[in-house]
Amino acid sequence: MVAGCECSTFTSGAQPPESDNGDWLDKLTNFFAGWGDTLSFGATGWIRRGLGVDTVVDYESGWYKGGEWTGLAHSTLMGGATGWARNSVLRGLSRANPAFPKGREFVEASHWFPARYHWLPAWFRNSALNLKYMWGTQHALCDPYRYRFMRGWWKRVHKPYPNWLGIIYRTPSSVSGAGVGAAYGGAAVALPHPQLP
Amino acid sequence: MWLLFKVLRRRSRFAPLERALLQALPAYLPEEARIILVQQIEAVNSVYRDREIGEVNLYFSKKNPPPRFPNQRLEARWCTVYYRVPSKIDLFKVHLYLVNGYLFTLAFGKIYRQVASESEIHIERVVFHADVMQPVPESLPLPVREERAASSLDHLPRWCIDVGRQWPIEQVSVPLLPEEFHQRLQEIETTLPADYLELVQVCEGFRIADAVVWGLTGIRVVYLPSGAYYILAERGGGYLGVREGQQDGQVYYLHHEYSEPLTHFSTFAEALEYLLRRSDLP
Repeated sequence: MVAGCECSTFTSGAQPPESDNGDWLDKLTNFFAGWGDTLSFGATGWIRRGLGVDTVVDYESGWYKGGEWTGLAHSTLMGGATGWARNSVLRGLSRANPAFPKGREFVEASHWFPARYHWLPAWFRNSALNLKYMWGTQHALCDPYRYRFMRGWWKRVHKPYPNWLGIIYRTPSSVSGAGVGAAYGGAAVALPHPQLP
Repeated sequence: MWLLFKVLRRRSRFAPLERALLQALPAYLPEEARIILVQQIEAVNSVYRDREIGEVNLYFSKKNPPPRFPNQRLEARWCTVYYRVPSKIDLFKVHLYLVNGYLFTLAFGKIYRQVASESEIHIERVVFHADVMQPVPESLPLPVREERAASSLDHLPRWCIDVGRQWPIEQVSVPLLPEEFHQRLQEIETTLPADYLELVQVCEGFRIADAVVWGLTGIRVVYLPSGAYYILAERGGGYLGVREGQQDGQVYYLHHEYSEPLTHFSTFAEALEYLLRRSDLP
């Protein structure tokens, strides 16, 4: 609500709060404190208060809020990058499994939105935003089209997931990673700030 | 029979057509097999349906599994039931498959969606492909069959040696004995491509680069809306298959992302080269 008040104040053309009129060092201090507090889930603020140096930070300043939103974007990107890295690590792995040709099961790329949806742009269909790397068995369990190609004896001991669960499992790691990162950052931004004296 | 009737009526997990089929089928079985089948149907606790291709798989409780048929072959096509339903004039068929002595798959084909709600079925005839009461011990899946030394590549057909110059051929399996060869061939209800038949007479499949060419024992059936396909080779998500009932020996390229074949070839050699050259696989 505080941020909303400030926003309306800015758009009405009035002067920003006094704390935003400080010198550049103050502004940068507030900005990086907001950024760091979001990434550390408030731990850096707790340390500042422990050291007795928290008075230099103005939690109500626009620069602090800007730092918080930057931290939120940062955690979202970090989550997405972690998911992308997971795909890179898994790609090309194989393990023994008699259900697969010549007894080797490979990590396969599963499409979140099926590749047969040609109305989706080609760059998207085979991008990290639409692919999740997973073992062939898991792919078959969460994708009914992949399940069709499995052997009968394997199907008898593995019942596929319901469609809704399959879609969740197929969510690309970069997308789910970004989602987790955004939730983390959002929760950090929503943390209550210490009351000013 | 009355018990089976009660079980099928009570359990709503069966669609009307499935229920009608499973009620009518035991009449075509000898007493012992009928008892086991009824117990298996009674023990079904969930059903998986792929309505697009008409594949219905039956799952039993793992805690209290029903008795198995003495024929416990890993996978076997048990029988084909030819039937009619009142609302259609055509004669339809459904294939029933066993896995390790359990009835597992009812393969209706794409007609399933149109007839699944039919509660009346008239069986014209049942063709049995395997005797469920003939004891066959449970077999485990074999990842790699017996391999032959690389020198055996000389025995391969000319087209195969040509392909082998571009991609390495490994794990060449020994061919089937004539009796098993003919038995397996009879189980496949289609015309296999001539060059593939030439191959399986001298070997039971091999690995080529990152693809696998199956021998007759490794062939499996995959159902798609356009029909059943016997899978002869695969690489990653790409497969080469021949359609059930075809006479021309055409080889189809299938991909698990698509519900229908993407292209087809007149020889297996051409299709295999196409599969190996695909840059989007595996």
